[in-house]
Amino acid sequence: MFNVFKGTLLALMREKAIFIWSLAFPIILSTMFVFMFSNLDASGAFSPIRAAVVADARYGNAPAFSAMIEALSEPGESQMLDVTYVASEEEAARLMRDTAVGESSYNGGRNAGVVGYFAVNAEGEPSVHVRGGTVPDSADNVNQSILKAIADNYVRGRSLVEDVAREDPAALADPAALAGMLDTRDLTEKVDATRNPPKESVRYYFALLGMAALFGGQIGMTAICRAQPNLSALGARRAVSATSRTRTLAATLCACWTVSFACLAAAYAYIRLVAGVDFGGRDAACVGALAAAALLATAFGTLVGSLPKITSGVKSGLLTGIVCIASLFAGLYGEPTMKLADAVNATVPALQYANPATQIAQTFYSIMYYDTYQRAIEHVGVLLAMTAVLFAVSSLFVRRQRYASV
Amino acid sequence: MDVVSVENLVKRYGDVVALDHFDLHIGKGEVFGLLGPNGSGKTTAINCILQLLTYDKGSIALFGEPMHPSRYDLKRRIGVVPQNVAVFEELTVRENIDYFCGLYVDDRARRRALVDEAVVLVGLEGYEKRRPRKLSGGLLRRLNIACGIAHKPDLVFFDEPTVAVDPQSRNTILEGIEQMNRAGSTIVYTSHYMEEVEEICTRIMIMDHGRALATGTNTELKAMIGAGEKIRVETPEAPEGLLARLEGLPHVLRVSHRDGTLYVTCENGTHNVGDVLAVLQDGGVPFGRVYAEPPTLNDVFLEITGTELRD
Repeated sequence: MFNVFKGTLLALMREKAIFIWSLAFPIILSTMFVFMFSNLDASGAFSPIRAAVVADARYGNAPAFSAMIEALSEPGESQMLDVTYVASEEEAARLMRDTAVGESSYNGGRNAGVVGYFAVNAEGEPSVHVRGGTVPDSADNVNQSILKAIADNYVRGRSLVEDVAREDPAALADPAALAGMLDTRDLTEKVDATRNPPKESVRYYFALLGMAALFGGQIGMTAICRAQPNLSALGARRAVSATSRTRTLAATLCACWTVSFACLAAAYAYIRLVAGVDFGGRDAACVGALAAAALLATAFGTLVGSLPKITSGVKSGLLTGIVCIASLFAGLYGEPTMKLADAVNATVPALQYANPATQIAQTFYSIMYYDTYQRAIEHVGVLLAMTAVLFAVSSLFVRRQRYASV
Repeated sequence: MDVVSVENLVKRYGDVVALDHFDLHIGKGEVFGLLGPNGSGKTTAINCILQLLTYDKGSIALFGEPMHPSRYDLKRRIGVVPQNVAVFEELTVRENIDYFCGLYVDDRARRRALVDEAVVLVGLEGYEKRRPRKLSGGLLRRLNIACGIAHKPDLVFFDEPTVAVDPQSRNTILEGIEQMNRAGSTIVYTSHYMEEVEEICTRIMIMDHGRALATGTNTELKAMIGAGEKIRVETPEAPEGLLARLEGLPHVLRVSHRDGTLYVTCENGTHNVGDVLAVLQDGGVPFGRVYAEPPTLNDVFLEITGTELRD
């Protein structure tokens, strides 16, 4: 039996066509993903808000406010404002108007449009002026709110200090007490709902692993065609030998699984180490999921390969077609298909249990985002159930020992 | 005890009867030839014996034991060299032989020695690390044989092993088969090349349309027909009346003229050539080279079926 395993393994490892689909394809596609999705995850990052500041005499007489503006404009990771100083309110309004809605969107990580301006009035209080009307860009609305919050915060702090100076001037002598008064402590704390922060692009890699796993079915298909007496001369020769059909098939399928798993593991390593996709430190669980996915792929290939009265070319086309359709509903082909996959899963949840590519992608999703392995184990259970069904159906075709014709 | 015993075997492909109440008995140590044109049922008979094909009727026994698909003890004693080359394209010559030998022999050390012997037997020394696609047609056939016989089986089925091979490979293959037979293996050899069958087989069965037409040694088969000598004379033309005069000669069985050659089939006789040439000289018929040879299995087949074996 080991002899059959070893021979099949060697033969499969030297079959270049197999590796095109099972190994080269996912590596090439994941490399493309690296470039395609380089901006996708960065799109939620904060960019400094462009604002104008009327730097007139009043502004010069409000040193606390100007100091705050300078601090918020300080280049660095915490830079909040990208300030343009102008001489008058008219100039500020013109600047805001000229960089109107069309430019006022995230543009390569920098806000192109001036969304508002600060001016200091005769009483020395800062005011903020933003664009009026409905702005379709939600990011623009958020930016306007931030500008207002900055001005409000300053006014509130200034009022507080003035009140304290009036009521208890001695308190201002204590820097710690003063800092405590001005501390705008957050009342809400940002926590992640998932075990790892969600990344939109990672879902495509999950779908890619699903597709790569199913393409591993080519390995099982090739091997089973060579083991079937009614499909190949090699199969006939092996069938008349002294090694039982069960042992031959078992060893052949073990070899197929080994090659499928190795290809998937290599693709996973590439995605993990070269594409830089972090699976949340759960690599061992991911490898386990890959093993289950490889088993499913072997069963899938076995079924397609054992179909009688179909040429190997047609079988290969059939397998490729099924994989491509399954991958479509796993959302592999870009945002529209990801939305389609989400819509289908939301509308008819049962359908995802019929799509092995979705199940494989969901397994990795569960491993990465869920706190426990419970959900991932459920998906692996579905994968194994699918495997059992596929093997059971294919056994109807491969169990025969004698044929009416070969 | 027969090594192969087939009784009343019937195999149908739909309406086509591939084996029609076919009987076959092969004794230990024989080189048994199954001779017949393509489609005569030779390969079907072998596949039924090997339990690869279902059959409609009949019984099959090997080494005195009933044969079933799961009789791996019997299969362990059998070697098969299929008509189509069946090897792994991705494995080297040595890896292929080792793989197929491993289907019969588990012990690795013993297998290594058997593979070495098989390589020498079929003359593949120096090619052991090559892949099949790097081999010529003849060498590929030799590899196909090595994969079937490396485990030193007691009974070997060779199904048309010399199709499309060069003369050197053909000779190597036939010598190897004779060597295996001398070492104790019983051989079943199918071919539509009568010269090969005549050369190596101790007993021959002529088949057509799934039936055994005649069985016997080479000599016995030829004795079944009346012909004892075939005479060919190069004559550009055959004047009217010439063929009739020749047919009137004693011992002459058949006369024909085609493609500038006169064919005369005679019974055994001491003056057949002289009598034929005398008729030609008397008739003033010019002639060139003259050949006289004993009948072949093709003549036997022609006599029995009325058609040429190669048709």
